[in-house]
Amino acid sequence: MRRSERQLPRDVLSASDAWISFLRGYGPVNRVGSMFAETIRERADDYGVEPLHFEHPKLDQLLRSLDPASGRMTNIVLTGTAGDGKTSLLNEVWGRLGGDDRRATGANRDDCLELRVEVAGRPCRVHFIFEFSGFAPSKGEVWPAEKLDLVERFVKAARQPEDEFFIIAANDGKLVQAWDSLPEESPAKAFASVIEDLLAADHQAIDGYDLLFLNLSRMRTAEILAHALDCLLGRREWDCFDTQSEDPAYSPSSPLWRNFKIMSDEGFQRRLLAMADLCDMNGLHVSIREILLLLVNSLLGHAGSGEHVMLPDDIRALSSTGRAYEAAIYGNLFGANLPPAKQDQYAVFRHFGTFRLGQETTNLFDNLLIFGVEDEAFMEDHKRLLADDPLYGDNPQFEVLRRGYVDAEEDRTSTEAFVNGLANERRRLFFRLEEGDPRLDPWKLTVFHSADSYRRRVLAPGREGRPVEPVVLKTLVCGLNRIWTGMLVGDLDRLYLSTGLDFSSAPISDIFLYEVPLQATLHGDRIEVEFRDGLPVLKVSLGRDGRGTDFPLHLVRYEFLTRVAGGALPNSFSKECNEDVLAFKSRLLSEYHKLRQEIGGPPPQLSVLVQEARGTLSQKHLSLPL
Amino acid sequence: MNFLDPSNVGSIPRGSGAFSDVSIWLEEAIFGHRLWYRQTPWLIFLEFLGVADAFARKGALFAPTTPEETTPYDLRFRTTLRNVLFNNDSLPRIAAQKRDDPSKWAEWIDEMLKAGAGPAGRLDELQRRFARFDDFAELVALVRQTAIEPGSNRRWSSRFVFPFGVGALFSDATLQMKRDYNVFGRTGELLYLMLTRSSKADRLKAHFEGFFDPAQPKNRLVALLGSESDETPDLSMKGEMFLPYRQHPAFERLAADWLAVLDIGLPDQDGFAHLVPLASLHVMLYQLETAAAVAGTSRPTLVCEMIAPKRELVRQRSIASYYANDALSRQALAAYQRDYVLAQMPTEHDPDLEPGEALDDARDFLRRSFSYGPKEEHFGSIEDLLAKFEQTGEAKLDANCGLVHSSFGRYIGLISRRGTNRNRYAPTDALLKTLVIARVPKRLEFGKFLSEMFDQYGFVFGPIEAKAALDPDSFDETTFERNKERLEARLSSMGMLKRLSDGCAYVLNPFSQAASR
Repeated sequence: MRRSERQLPRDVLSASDAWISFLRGYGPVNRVGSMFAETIRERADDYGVEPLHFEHPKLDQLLRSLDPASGRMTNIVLTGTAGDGKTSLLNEVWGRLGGDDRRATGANRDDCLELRVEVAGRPCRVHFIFEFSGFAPSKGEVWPAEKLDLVERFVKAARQPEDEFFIIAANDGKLVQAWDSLPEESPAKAFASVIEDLLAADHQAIDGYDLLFLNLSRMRTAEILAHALDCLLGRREWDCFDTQSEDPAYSPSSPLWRNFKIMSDEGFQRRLLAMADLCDMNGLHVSIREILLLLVNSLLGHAGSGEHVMLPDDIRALSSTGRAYEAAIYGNLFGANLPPAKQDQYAVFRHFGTFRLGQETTNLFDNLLIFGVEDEAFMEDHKRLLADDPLYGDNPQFEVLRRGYVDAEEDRTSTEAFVNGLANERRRLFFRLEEGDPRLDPWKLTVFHSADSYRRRVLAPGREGRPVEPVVLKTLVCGLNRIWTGMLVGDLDRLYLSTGLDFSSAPISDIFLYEVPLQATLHGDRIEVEFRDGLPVLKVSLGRDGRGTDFPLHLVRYEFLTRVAGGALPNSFSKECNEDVLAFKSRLLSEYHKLRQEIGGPPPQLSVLVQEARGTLSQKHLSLPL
Repeated sequence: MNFLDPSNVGSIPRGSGAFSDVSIWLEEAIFGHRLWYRQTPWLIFLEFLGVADAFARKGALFAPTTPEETTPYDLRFRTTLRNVLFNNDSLPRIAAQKRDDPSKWAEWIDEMLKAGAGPAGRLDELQRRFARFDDFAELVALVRQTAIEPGSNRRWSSRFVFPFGVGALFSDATLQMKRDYNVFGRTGELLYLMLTRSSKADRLKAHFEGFFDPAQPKNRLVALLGSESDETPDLSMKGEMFLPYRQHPAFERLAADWLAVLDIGLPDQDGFAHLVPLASLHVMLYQLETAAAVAGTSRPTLVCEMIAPKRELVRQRSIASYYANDALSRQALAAYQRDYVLAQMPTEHDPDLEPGEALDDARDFLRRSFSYGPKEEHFGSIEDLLAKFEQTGEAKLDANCGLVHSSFGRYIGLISRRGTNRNRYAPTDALLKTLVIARVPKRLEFGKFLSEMFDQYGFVFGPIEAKAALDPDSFDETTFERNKERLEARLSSMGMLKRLSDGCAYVLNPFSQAASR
């Protein structure tokens, strides 16, 4: 049936229902040609709704690098995962450089278009390749001559720009594969190593080439989330809560109403953005498409509805039967409304899932959640944090499960329901707790117990240009000492470089090589935390002229070192972090040996590290005739 | 390369003592003399180092060798050093006493002489060298901490210390300081020969010459614990080692891997942790590859299971792969019998011979060519003789060379029974790390890494390689796809993999200079 003959949703549904139904398409529902940049226009028209739109965080940087009137023009490659907004960005650039509205209206969906642009008066051709994977031939197929020629001209233009420029969007994986599939004799083939270097090293430019290489998967999740929240919550369609409040779907008893209220709450937003920020600090990126999916799923998710996302009628059903808690935002935020296999498909749920919010807990928190209603010791906190919640404080379903657990009834049918309910309660508690309370630290409900310390003592000073407090360095150095020497040392005022007699990475490394005091010395040895590209980096510098050796301080590594400093064994918590720390030791030792060789002189005396009481280390010098 | 081409295959000189010493010379003719299945990776490496050092002293480190020549060399027992390290139970007790140094030394020397570690002159050297007895005791304890395979229950004269330098290398010995072949079983000699016949021998020489320099600090440290007499070579080896092939792809692959590790330039001897398992791996693959070629089958593949939480089809494929490879040496023996024994055996149907003469000729042939001179005097016919000959050959293979595959595989962490009751290929994390360090120069796209594993070692992890290696009816795409994903996750958890976007991942060498994260 042609589009003009079908009955369009906008003719059938009310404006508010059309809005919700359209919005639902952004969620984890099956995409029947819906939310890709190419087709979103059409779907929006079907519903009579404007698509969600906010200015792409990278648009500004892109446009600043392109100012043809004043002669500023460059080749651009945009890479990133699917859903990072590459095609939309290029469409925008096309428009700004003078292209017609074929792209904006969706009338044109070619892979490749050409535009004549005047650069400082000189006529130039700008080739847009909107989707490189569509442009490049499929695996195993031969490159058609004109396309191969275009790619070779691109490489030429990158090396020596004249009157042709190229603006290309590609998924990183497809980019690499496409270059692999080029014929060996092609002069463009050598460019593959440049691409690899740019991708692997996270650089935006490389010497000798006129190329801006923007990897959109390096965009900060927190930034995208902030934009997305504003754009979603600011839509005028939400006035349905005022104009249609008699409709159960838009009344205060509706889960949508409640979830919307929570999502609009400043405290909630701050906590959510903090989580997104910490994901960035773990090197985990979420694409724009998945951020929108997260927000829509949070509002409309419900395990019992079709495809686990509610339609307006589903909302009405829950609302009129008083079961709004089934679609509470707290579980939806982590994809709890979806079956595990589906959850796993989406990076956003995997990444947010790394916090293990809902699975982690402490005795205090669980006591609060389970016994707080009745137990005097916890009653006040329970009332304040949980029971007085006007939106989801009243949850009869969980209450039944809780009673069943507390009364330890023999015929309790399912512990799974209780555990899931408890997980959601923990999540609710997490978002309602205030920051900075040492007794009830919300981050103790995640696997990153030191997240608060990380944010306050490492991220905040770094972003404001202040140095980190010495206590932070002390903790990190304590963790490093324990792992590197293999001995349970205490809080020391210096970092020890030691080796085993056989292997430098021997589990017990008690041959002393060098020490770096926390207090800066006159020799140039330094330990500090630097801030580079928004990420904290632990840097150890040896000697006055020695280059520093870096150890990027991802949140997970910070947590790992803090736990080891607190007594955990290195092999618990994270094997990967342990390997990373040992690799750091190896790099630092290489630097040390290099410098030692440069300095020359007689080799130092053999000195063995001995652990004293109270966790200090002393050196025992062996006077050996070497 | 067809390494079975007659011009490439040598025979052992018939006058060689090695030839006459064995009860039957069959597996040796195919694989060399000898692959000792009980020699652990470190023991192979230590034996190798001793041989290499011996040739370095002659100025012939990694000089080319041929199958036909015997190359004698000298080893050292370093009796004082090994007595001080491993036949020295009284030391901690004496050191702990609160007495003056001279009396501690006196008592200690006395105890050592009683244990047979004399003569006294050598021990006096130690006293003159160390200002304090406690420093001496401390150093001994430190060096002893690096003992190789401390858990093994071997005699003290078969205990070894980490090879810091030439000063720490000594030959295996019996308690009476004589050489036998149960611990150092000659596989180290074969390893040496293999490297001399690779095209990269010169570049390897440069690396090892640095290691053999006696002036290295750690070497001087260990040398403090020995006596002057330790430096004198006191064991002459006839050098009757035998490796049939002048060239072989396995030799090249071994040398390439070793060079890759050495070129990274890890500090001191850190690289040994990887050279050791790689050597055993390549020796094992050498045997499999040679057996397959002799048996007339294609180059062996090894289907590796990344251990799954529940039973998967890939496990069965891996088990099948293991057993197929395990049978190769037997098949090779059978083929060799067919092509080299039966084909050239005198028969009873030769019209020029008397009936009894044919049998004598046959026995003579077997003795001359295969060193087979059985104690039983009487055989009814040539068939009986042949039957006994085959039986002896097979029995010996089953008890020796045929066990190399499973034994070496288990030592290096490639073969395991974890989660099942049968052997199969399931590489450990440590082995995976070594493979990455050897094969990934800086970073390598994951798909290319998988094909590299297949080309270099025959390892099958993912669907593409599985399709190439397996029969169409035993190939299942999904199970190998999942296997590949598990490998990806494993490498990532070890910090050796970086994902750029779905479908694009890079394997990183953690020690390469440029790949710092």
